[in-house]
Order: sequence, then C-alpha cells, then structure tokens
Amino acid sequence: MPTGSGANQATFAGELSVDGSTVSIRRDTDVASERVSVSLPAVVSVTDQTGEARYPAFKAIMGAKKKPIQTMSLADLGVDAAQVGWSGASSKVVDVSPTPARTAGTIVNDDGTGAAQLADFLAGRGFI
Amino acid sequence: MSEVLVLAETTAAGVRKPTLELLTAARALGEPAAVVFGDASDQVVSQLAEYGATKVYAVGAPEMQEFLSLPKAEAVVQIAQASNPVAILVTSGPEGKDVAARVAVRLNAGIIPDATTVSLDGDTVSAVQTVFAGRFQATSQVLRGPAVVTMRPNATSAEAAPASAGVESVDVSVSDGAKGAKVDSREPKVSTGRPELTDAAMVVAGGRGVGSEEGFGVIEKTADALGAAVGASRTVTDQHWAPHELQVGQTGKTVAPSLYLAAGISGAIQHRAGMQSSKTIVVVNKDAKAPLFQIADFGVVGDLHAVLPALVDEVAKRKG
Ligand SMILES: Cc1cc2nc3c(=O)[nH]c(=O)nc-3n(C[C@H](O)[C@H](O)[C@H](O)COP(=O)(O)OP(=O)(O)OC[C@H]3O[C@@H](n4cnc5c(N)ncnc54)[C@H](O)[C@@H]3O)c2cc1C
Repeated sequence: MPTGSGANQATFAGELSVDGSTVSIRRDTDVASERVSVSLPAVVSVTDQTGEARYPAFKAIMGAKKKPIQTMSLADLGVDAAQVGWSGASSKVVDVSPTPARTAGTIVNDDGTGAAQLADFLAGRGFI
Repeated sequence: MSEVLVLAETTAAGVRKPTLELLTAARALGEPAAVVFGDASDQVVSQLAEYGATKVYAVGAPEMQEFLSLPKAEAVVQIAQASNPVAILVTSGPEGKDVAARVAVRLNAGIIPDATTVSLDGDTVSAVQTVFAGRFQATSQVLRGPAVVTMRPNATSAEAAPASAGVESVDVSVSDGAKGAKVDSREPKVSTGRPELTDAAMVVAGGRGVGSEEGFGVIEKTADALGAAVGASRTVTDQHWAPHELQVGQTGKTVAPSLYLAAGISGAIQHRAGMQSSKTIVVVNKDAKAPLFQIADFGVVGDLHAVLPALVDEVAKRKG
C-alpha cells in the first residue's frame, strides 16, 4: 500500500538528509527516536525541528508574482466530481462553539510568604 | 453491539496509558477489541482486558516493527474488513496519525484527527476537536464508517472495567509497497526517573524566566519535590535549556494534568494551547500583567528563583 502516487513516504521528520537516491530521517515518537530510510521518489513530511524557515526577500516575492499559474479542472486530473466537495465528504462539522473561559483565581504578591501561601493552596487541593 | 478496534501501543513496561484511555472511550461506542502489534504477552492481554477489551487481535508479523506505519495499516485494514467495526480508535501521535490516515483512505472511511471525546448516536459516530489554539470546540460526524478517530492523550481519563479477552492471532501478508520506509534503528527514550510528561498527574513547567540552562534546574527540583513531570516553553527548548520533548504547546505536547505549575512563562496563546485544559493551573511570574495569570487558579507575583526554592522547603516540611 504505497501512497497513491506510488512514492514511498516518511513522515514527521525532525532531521533529514539525502544521499544519492536515499532519504534518511530522524523521527521522534513519545517512546523512541527512530532512524528511517526511504528510496526516492518519496513524500517526506517534516516538523519545525528540521531547520529555520528561510523567508523570501522582496525581490523574490515580486518575482513570484510573475510566475505562470496553471489552472486544472477535475477532468484534467481524472477525478470524479462525486468524490470531492460536499458529495464526496466523509465527515462533516455539525457544531463549533467557543471553549468556556477560565476565570482567574487568587493572585498574591510575594512578600516573603508567597511560597508558604502557595504550599497551603497545593496542600488544600491534595497535591502535597 | 459492534466491535470498536483500539490500536494498542505497548512498550517493555506494558500497555501505554493513552491506549487505556482509548479503551475507556471505546466502551461508549461498542465492544472494545484491541489490536496488538508484536508480542501479546499475558501481561499486555490482562492489562487490556482490565480496561474493557473483550478481544485482542495479535499481529506478530515482524514487518510491523521493521517498517514505518504502512504494514500496520494493512493489518488494521484486513482486520476491519473481517470484523466490520463501528469505529477504529488510535492515539494521536506521529505513528498513530500515519496509520489512521492510511486506514481511512483504504477503507474509504471518514477520519477525525486529534479528538478529545467521541460518542455514538444511533449508528453515527461524532467526535469533538479542540481547534484554533484551544479557543473553539468543533463537533463532527463521520458520514462513512467505520469512523477512524485519533484521540489526544490525556483528554479522557482511563478507567478500569474488567472484561475477559480472548486472543486471536492474525496472519498478515504485507505487500511490497508497504515496505518502503525501513526503520534502521529505534532507540527507546531514556527514562529520567520522572513521570512522563503526557501521562503525568502533575507538571512543573519553566519558561524564559528561569534565565539559563542552570536556572532550569530549579524547575526540576520543584518537580522532584512534588513528584511531578517537567515541562518547558518553546523559548526554553529552542535555547536548549531543556530537551525538545519537554516542550508544551501548539507545536509541542498537549497536557491536561490535575496540576500545571508554570514558572517564568508569560502565557502566549501557543503555549496555552498545550496546557489550558489542565484541571488546576498555578502561575509564578514576576510580572503581574503576564497573561497566564488570567487563567490561573492560584498565582504568585514574584521571582521564581526565590519562590520555588522556598516552595521546595515548604513541601519538604509538610511531607515531614
Ligand atoms: C507557530 C508558533 C508555534 C509556537 N509553539 C509554541 C509551543 O508549542 N510552546 C510554547 O511554549 N511556545 C510556542 N511558541 C512561542 C510562543 O509564542 C512564545 O514565544 C513562548 O511561549 C514564550 O515563552 P516564555 O513564556 O518562556 O517566554 P516569554 O514570553 O519571554 O516570558 C517569560 C516570562 O518570564 C517572566 N520572568 C522573567 N524572569 C522571571 C523571574 N525571575 N521570576 C519569575 N518570572 C520571570 C517574565 O515576566 C515573562 O512573563 C510558538 C510560536 C509560534 C509563532
């Protein structure tokens, strides 16, 4: 079961390097740090750990405006209209509501007794 | 009642807590059946049964460990096609999301990622997601089942409901196409002896206010005094004052412990996104205007380098 394009996939790369036709990544899960290699062509997704973003300079932004934009229809892509949009959706959002606001509690100024007051609060809630 | 497949995550220490949360959530939808990749030891099976699994599918094929995600997805698809579950629950994490996405595509089923709760109304599965950095709750229905839902760790609490689970071995023939991403090595995270951040009942987190890598030590000492896990803001992890895996927030871990004690953290929206569902929030910050005070149950305006060491002494005194 490769991706639809037939390419390999390696996801959540925190570190990435390419050697010839092989892409190697480091991938951190909750329980382990994994090294994974895939051969090209591959779809690779990265996390914000892979590196600093390079922001385009003004000249490049202006240059981008002149790049040709190609418009494709569903037919061009060979996609059946019933598979996409509302008719193709496999889930729908039925409600969106604001998260109930939290209200601020007791705030004390540390006059030297801040830690003791905090310890009282924590003990009162069973944390100590 | 239909089956609900729960993809179990196990380590050498047994079943991970997020899996027990999934089993708890699954019981509201149908009969939980766990899928175990690798060794379904007696310990693992009895732990799964304790949290309500009525069946355990054991997938022993070595490909499950040797390659990334896709062999697991093929195994789950095969099991789902035979057992016709109402839903497939997966833990939100790099691997879970990968597997869930593949499974949904292959079954032509609806997927809801990063859910906090899941429910069943008639035959329709709905799930709630916390969106826009925690500001809104979105409820969605799955229109084509089985509903594939990935659930955030810590969003629900794990409650035992003992059942008895039979084990069914599943033979999977993994396709060549699923063997594209080879796992060359897998290093288990070294244990710090502290609770794991996403599992912990208490978290003590430090921000830029700690001042330096050495300064971060006061956060660790406070955490150890309370028996809490350690967390950090992104500023701290970006400066390498603490390892990246301790980052809490939109681009780090989402936690919802009983107690979240934040010191020297201003309370940027991206940080709040990862901790605002905590039951009790305590803030120590020298700036009374720090936004995190607005959601604090208790706050101390003061220097964390004075307040926290004094707190450690207070805790020691009270614990005797
Ligand atoms: C796309 C994106 C994603 C992001 N993801 C995350 C994320 O996942 N997690 C995250 O945390 N951030 C994230 N951020 C960064 C976020 O916007 C903030 O910059 C960051 O959380 C600030 O960290 P801080 O609170 O430690 O530092 P600051 O905002 O600098 O706050 C430091 C606080 O310490 C206090 N302080 C200073 N000295 C002391 C002292 N001696 N005693 C007590 N208090 C003191 C100050 O009053 C101040 O309130 C993200 C940003 C972006 C743009």
